[in-house]
Amino acid sequence: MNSALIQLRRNPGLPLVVALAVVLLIVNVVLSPVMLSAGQLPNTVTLVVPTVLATMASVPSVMSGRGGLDLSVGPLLGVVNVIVIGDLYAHGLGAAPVAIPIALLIGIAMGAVNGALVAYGRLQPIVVTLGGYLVLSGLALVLMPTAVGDAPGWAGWLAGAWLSGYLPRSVILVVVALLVWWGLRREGALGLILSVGSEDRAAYTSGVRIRRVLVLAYAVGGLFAGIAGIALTVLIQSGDPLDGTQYTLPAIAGVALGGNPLTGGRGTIVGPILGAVSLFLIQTLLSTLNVSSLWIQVVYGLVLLGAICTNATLTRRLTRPVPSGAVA
Amino acid sequence: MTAATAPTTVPRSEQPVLVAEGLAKSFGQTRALTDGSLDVRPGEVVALLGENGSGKSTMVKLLSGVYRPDHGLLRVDGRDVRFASPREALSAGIVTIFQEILVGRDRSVLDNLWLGNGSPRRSRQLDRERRDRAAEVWTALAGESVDFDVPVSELSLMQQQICVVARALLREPRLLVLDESTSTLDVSLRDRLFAELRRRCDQGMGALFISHRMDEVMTLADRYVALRTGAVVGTRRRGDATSDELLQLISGADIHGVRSRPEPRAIVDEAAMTAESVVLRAGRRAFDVKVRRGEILGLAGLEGHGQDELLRSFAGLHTPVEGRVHHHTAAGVQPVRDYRSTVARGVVYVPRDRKVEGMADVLSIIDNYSMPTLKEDASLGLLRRRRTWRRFREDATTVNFVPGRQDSIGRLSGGNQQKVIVARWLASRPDVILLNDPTRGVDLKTKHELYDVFRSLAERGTTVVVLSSEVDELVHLVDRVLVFHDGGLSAELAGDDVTPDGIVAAYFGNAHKEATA
Repeated sequence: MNSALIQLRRNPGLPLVVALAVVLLIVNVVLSPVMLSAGQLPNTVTLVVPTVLATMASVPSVMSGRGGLDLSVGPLLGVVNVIVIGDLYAHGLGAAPVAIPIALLIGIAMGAVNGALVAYGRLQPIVVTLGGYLVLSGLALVLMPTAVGDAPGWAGWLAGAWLSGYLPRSVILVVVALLVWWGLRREGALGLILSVGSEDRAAYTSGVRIRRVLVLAYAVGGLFAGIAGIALTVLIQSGDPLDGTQYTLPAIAGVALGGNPLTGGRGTIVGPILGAVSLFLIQTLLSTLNVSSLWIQVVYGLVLLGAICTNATLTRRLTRPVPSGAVA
Repeated sequence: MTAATAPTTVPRSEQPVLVAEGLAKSFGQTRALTDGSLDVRPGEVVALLGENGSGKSTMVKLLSGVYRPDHGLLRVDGRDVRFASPREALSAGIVTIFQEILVGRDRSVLDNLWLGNGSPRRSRQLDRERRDRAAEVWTALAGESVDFDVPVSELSLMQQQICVVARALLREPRLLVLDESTSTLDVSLRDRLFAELRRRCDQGMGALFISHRMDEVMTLADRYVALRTGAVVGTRRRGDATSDELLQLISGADIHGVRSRPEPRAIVDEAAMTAESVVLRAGRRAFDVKVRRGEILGLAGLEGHGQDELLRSFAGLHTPVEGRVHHHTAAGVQPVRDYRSTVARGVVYVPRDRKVEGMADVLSIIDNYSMPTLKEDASLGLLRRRRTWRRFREDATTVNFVPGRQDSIGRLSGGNQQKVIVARWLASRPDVILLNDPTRGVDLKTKHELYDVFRSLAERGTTVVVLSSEVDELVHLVDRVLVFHDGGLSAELAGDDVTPDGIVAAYFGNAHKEATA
């Protein structure tokens, strides 16, 4: 059977989010052509990159099953940002070869801790990561009580553009994350994460080291959150202990909007990326239309519910359920 | 045969593939296994026999590395082993097919077949090799291949079972452990599986085989090891014991006339349910079915030949391509439209897969029992638990159920779970009870207890329709059996015509008379 068709049948939410993103993009461009002009494009993209990466950070833990919602992604962005600006840059360690690896390691370490608590501690992911959320939000404030406004040169460079202003450099960060994802797929780690998320007992009795796989899933999420923290630094060009936390819910909403089931075992990375882009485009559309920003959350919620309902309907229609005892 | 094919090497039969000595395992106060001792030689199929709760499952889990033994020795190919996880058991060459069909439903068939086997790395070449190997094994088992790219959730239950068997065989096991791995397979697939097992054993594999189907055990095994209350109580060679003797060894008691037909009963020719001009598959000939009040009617056939559809049509859970289904009540003849209104009139359906459709795993036994009938125990808007308990005591006695009512149902053995579910429907005093393979995965003793329950129900006027995949069960239980073939009615057997030969012949669409003549 055609593999594209199979991908589609397994992820019936994907065409929906593609359509949503395209429609939103067209409406945005029509109503506000300036958004994609040479002058504005890099800024627009830089604005959306942290949301995209935060959403990508939520993907592997959700895929690994057990209700793997990672609530600590948002605050982790904040902590990475605060450490890069307040601790490294402020003490002369802001150079890219030093600061960026440290930022990524912090992300991986935090993710691994979450994963270890879930896998070895047999705790529920939502409780573990809620703990992580509180600890990290608090830690950001302890490390940097008020925002500090200065950033290293590489952060400014990443905010710029190539090709007479058409190719935003901040996209590099997303490309790096996608390369990591591609590597995971190639090495089979992604397949193992999905297998564990689909039926962990089948994986366990087949000799898969499921606890390691879970730790890996959360660590990859942490790595993406680390990259997202760098993207946040690029965006705000400063250190802010409160900024990261606001990415918590969009990160999860993006995954759901992208058509990945929150029960795990299935899903894509493209869907959530487009989900995150859609959330961003809704926001810009509303501000173009001069709708009060107070309404944004209401609209977010409605779009999300609508998308999930449509997804559920599509899934039911397209994937033939086999009731036990039924015939092929 | 094994020795003959390998004359130059050391005779393989000298070194057992597996030796287990005095394996023991307790869970809290419960001693699940006290003396698990057996050996399996290369080329040999050893059947592990025992009732539910005799320690078979514990034994399997110790061999597969899911549990660690409290005491005892395990030796694979002469080396002492101690498994900390299934992974270690697998790398020692012990591959287990568990009773439950464990698959990643969202993952492709190919991913499931190679799950945990070899490097997870993906490349074009690896993918092609895996596809070829998988196609080979799958074809050997099923006679035809399957689309390896679809998610396993799109396969039938039987194909999912093939998937877990093929996954085990792809690991090239030294010892293959099959724990009730044939329960969803139809006769022809089972025969293919047995032939493949034989072929592998001739090449030096050992197999430990667990089944509740005596006919399978007698056909396949070279040696029988009997477990009773956690200890091995005896070993017999093939040909040294009849199936009755083995059953005696297992139960420690005398089970007389396992294959005897029940006494013929006088059944009034009054319809309880009817299906008129029913067509289950487009293009097949229409047929009529009349279920008489108080009779035990069997529905049989190889899996997927229409019996399941007919049973569910009686419950209002399936709509036939053509034809009408009616429930005959004192108040008149009612068309069967949907499950809810049908249940309300006293027709209950007990599904096959109790784990998914039949019970709430985490709730207690009594909660599972009382679920559909709870409103009987309410008065003035309050729930009277005492009434529930009283009802449960009564119905539990009927099904011969012993364990406490407050335990979680998930901890019970399969047989006891099924008893609770049957007791639940007894509680609603049904007019018609539709049973979908009610004794699947249930041990022999419990099976016979359940047969007694079904019979006493029928005595009291309840109409029993039972779909069964087991020939012995039909012979032993039903008054009349309808055998399906390819979506149509292939034979109707009643009275002394209900014989194993007659049923099996009808499975394959042969008329009974010709088959037995």
